[in-house]
Amino acid sequence: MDAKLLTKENNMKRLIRVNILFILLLGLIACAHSNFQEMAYKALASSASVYENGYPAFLELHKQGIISDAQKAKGRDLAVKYWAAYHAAQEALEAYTNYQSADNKDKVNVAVNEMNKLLIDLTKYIEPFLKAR
Amino acid sequence: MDETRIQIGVAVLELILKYGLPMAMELIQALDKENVTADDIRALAYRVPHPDTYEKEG
Repeated sequence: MDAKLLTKENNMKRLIRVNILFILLLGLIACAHSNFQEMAYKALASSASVYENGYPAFLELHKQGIISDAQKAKGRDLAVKYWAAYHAAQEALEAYTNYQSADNKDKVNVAVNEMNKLLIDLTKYIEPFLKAR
Repeated sequence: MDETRIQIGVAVLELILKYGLPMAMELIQALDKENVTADDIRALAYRVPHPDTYEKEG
């Protein structure tokens, strides 16, 4: 294996490790900060970082022939679910920002929890492939 | 503390045990953004592209 490929592989491993830690971050932020809007913002921003780093790395493995079409398709399904949940959470947070009602706050809580759950589902699925490299 | 926070807390502890606190704390400090504005929240809409976008780009 040449140095370039080795570097790429190491970067992928580092990225997935960072990704897991971003999930950790979601929890720590949720517990440590009292400002609801800020907490929700950070949950979304950090989950976006997980996705932006992890999913392309997963696709790269498919390009390299390391994962099958079926495995990639399952990863894509999970990614689409996360993508939809993320944008639902973002819209809920924007609505709450515009009108800070208890109802809108509840909607943000539900949407962010769902987004976090789906991000964990996605990460749990793709992590073993990246770790195996 | 509600049930969701307890669940998150347990998950956090498990992850700290698995990956170590120093690296986790480093990331937390990096993302310790203050004064989140409405523009910051709107900007989130432009992150997280659809999964198929990556394949079209690639």
